[in-house]
Amino acid sequence: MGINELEKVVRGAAREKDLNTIEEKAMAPEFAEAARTLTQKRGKKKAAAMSLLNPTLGVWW
Amino acid sequence: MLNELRSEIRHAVESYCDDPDLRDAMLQVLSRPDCALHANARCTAGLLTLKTYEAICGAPTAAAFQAAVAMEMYVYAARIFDNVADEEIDSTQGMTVAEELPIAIGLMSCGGIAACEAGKLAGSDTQGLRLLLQLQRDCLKSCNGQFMDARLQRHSQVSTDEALEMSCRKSGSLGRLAAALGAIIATEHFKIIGLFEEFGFNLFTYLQLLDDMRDACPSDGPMRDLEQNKKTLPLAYFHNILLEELTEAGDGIIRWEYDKQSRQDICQEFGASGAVIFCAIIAETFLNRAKSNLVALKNRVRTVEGLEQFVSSLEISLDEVNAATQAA
Repeated sequence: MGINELEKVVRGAAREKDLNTIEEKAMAPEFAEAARTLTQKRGKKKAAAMSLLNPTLGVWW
Repeated sequence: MLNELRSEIRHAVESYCDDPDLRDAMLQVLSRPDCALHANARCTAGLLTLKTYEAICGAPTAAAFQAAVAMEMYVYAARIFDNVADEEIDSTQGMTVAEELPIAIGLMSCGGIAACEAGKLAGSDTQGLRLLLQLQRDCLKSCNGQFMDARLQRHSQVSTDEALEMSCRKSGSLGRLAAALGAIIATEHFKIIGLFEEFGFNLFTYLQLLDDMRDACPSDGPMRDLEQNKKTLPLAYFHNILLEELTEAGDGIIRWEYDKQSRQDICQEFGASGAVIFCAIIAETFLNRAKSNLVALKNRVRTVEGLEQFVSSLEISLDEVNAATQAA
């Protein structure tokens, strides 16, 4: 999947304390698309889906 | 559909297990807050089997429900093994570790019987045999992921590639199986079955990565993944940064001693490291792949609308991940 390159990009952004603009960094098209969709989702809360992250429900392992 | 699945799961345990003690113990385990018979349970794997069948053929048949029951039984059995491995068996739930293990094997056996029933009810003997082969092959792959998970805990440094591979094997395999079971009962068309397998694999890998993000640095409760030296994707990334810093400082320590730092400091470092966003981008990539699989299936099956809604119900945003972790 080539995640090593992405790892370097994110680590570089973290060092520069610039994680909020990660979608603007150069990365493989598939990751750039994912970064963009993540940004688009910001602020769009889905209360029902929140339970996925609720440890007491533990829907996964 | 969910209530009917729960009812079939209960019925399967009651009819397949003739020993009242083991039967009651299995039903008790399945009624826990995170298990199939609890009102809040999502039964994600079983529902994926049913919704896959529905996408191809319409209303699920008895064979599809038996396959979904098998899927749920295997998932909960796997979870018990995982809890035992992670020493997360809570004695307040009334079971010892020694009791939990035969219960897990009992659930797997009930799942095996349900799969045989599904195979018997499937359209042809070939479909029935194919279903059983798929079950065993994907369970073996998931077991391989579980073994890799345990083995990586003994390593001080693990690449993010290895960590991702472990998640793909452990959970992606179960997603592939869940979708494949529904597809195999519904059709003999190899290309369609293959696309559903990819879809299930991508969707469950996405869910596993969400779970790994949640557990890496939770806002409350124990930090078990860190304490157990787990090498989930966000923690493999985080560990490698910390180890590099220690090496660069020349102190010769090769294992980060998290227990000497306060929870607040750890979480601050974790948030600043970019571990959540790194993992979130990869998770989102798997989600996008799953959505692409549905696009590819759109004109080949009856409808993918039910699956699109299913995916949407599971999808979450990075804000929500952050809200559930100390990384916010």
